[in-house]
Amino acid sequence: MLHGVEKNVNQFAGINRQTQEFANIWAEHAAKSKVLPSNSPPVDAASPVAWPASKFLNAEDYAFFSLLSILNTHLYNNIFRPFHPAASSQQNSIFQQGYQKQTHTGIVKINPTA
Amino acid sequence: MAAWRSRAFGAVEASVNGAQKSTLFRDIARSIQEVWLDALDVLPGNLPPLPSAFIAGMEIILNTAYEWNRVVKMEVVKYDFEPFVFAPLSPYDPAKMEPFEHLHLPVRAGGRIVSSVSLGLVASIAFGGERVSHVQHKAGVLGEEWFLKKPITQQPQRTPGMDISVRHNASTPVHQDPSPPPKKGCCG
Repeated sequence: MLHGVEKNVNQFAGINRQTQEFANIWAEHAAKSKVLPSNSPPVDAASPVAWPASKFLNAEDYAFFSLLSILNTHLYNNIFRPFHPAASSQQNSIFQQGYQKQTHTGIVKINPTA
Repeated sequence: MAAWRSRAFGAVEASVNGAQKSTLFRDIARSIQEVWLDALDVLPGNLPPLPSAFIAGMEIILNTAYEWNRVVKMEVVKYDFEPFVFAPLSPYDPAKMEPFEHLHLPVRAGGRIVSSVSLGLVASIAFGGERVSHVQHKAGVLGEEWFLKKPITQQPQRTPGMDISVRHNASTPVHQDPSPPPKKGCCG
């Protein structure tokens, strides 16, 4: 770990814990009224999980992992934007271009296999 | 560089009031709810409308994440922090990912992940004329091995029928790929 970043990293890990606790609670809630299907169609590219629901062990697990995946994607796309969460897409794009000109470590595009 | 980033971010932050933040969080929370409910549509059964606590809980997480992001972009000038996340079907990369729960056998490198479980974090610092970055926190991912093998028992687990209080303690570190950390040893 880089020196002096522990506090920020620990706080970041805390966000991950919060999302998992949240997903746990609401997956349990959903599983009270949902069950796994015996068969599911293949998932499409927009699915939060790469497996069809019928391959999960139970409805709660499917609900849990789906919600976590959606949460994390939204946090990444909407809060941890390159510039500012409340800035326009154009402002974010300009900022990202400026940032990447000044560093060699910009985040690369989403994996094309997704 | 960091001063430029801090000033640019701060200029927007100063123009955002509480009501705008609330609207931002509510809109994101509603989007999450909508996408999740769509995902649950493949499961048989009638889920009653989610209580308002769902959106309220979501807004708390969004606010926490917003604050963390604000602090590291405005107040931390020494390092740049970049969260990252992986999309379903991304190849498993042990340098940037770790499996959800500790399994008896390692996850196969190159195997496709089922989904992301947590966000990862890269920190970088200017050093010797160039920027050095390190993965500070690997992204947690769900691999198919999780379905095939029993997790190691001393670790918190998410297995069928587990008491929720145990699962609450599950530790794991989600679809952007950070640049690979260089093998330079400035900062351990």
